[in-house]
Amino acid sequence: MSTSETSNEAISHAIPFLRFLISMPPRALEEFCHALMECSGQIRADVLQMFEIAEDESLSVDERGHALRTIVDQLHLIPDDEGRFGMDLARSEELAASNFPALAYQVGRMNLQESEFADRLRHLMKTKHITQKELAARIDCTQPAISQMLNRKCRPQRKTLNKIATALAVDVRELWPDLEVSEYLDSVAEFQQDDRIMTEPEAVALRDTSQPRSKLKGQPLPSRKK
Amino acid sequence: MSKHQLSADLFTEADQQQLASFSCGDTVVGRACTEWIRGSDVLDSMQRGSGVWLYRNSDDEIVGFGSLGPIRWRWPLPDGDYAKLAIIPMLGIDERFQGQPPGKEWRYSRQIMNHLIYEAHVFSAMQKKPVEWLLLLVHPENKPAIKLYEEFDFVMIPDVRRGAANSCVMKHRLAE
Repeated sequence: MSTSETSNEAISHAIPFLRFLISMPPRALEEFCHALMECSGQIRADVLQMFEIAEDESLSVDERGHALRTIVDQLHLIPDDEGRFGMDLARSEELAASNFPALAYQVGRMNLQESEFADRLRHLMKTKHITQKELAARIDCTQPAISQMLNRKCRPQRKTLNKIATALAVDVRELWPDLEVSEYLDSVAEFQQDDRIMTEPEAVALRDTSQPRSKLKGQPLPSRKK
Repeated sequence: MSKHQLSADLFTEADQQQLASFSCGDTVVGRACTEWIRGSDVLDSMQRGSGVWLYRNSDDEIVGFGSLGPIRWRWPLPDGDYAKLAIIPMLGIDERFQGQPPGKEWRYSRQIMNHLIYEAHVFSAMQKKPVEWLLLLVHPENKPAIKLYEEFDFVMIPDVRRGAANSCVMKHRLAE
């Protein structure tokens, strides 16, 4: 297939989408574009496909309407009480936490970790007289990204934490003391994974029958509920 | 029956509401244990088939928790066959009850270990082929735990460290 054929095909797919965009009021257009940028590649592809269906005059009104409703659902385009579109992560966390105790605990911990991290980072930057712009340059990111971390609008990844720690010449635990706890829990979760191929030392240890069988058979405990 | 006798009941998600003040202490391992039972890790572990028990004393206080689960690991190639093993994913004791009661006979940690080994035998008996090994992960700096496990015939697997936490693996060859 030639390049021009590919371009023509891409344009023909984009026409219904562009027509829809032009017809939108400016505020809705802004919210829509924002939602489309934040969603996954899969959802974006589904949305574009739904636009083609919505614009296909050979289909019934019901089918075309269904396609539009799917787009609204996928991009969370139903405005909230204050007229905002898009998914509010903080609100969805709050809602989930109110229904599940484990999530409530997890969300509480994550909020605390993020807040402590932001405080520590701010304090270290102040002590070391480093501006957001300078730190951004040192860790190869943008100043708004640093600002988001300081304002708890994003959770730094492990590699980012390492970069910041190096840039500030501190141990990473000074920035995120719970890192070791997370690492330990990760190792426990990973330990429970089925289908893992044993390492050679593990296989040697588990094939080694020189270790005598334990004589312990354990003891049951009574149940309080019974 | 001693007043120090623990009871063991299977943990459910609803029990998490009773764990608001449960804490295994402020060490890395203590915080990890607390987070495991109060957060979503315990639920993930149960989804993978683990049994989790809450241990209570005669005053109905939650002393600790323990867990036991199956895993299927594969032998290295060219064998590649599956080995069914039992593991203790996590156990923890509330800091108020650590090292309690004085005297080994009714020590809570020992009652919990004995119970988990008993449950490992129950699990093994339910399999077509008995399970030979019971494994657990231990933080390399958790010396009291390593000592406790050794008293229950766990042996450190040499040259094996797991994850960024550098955790050690201990093995116990179950009785026939």
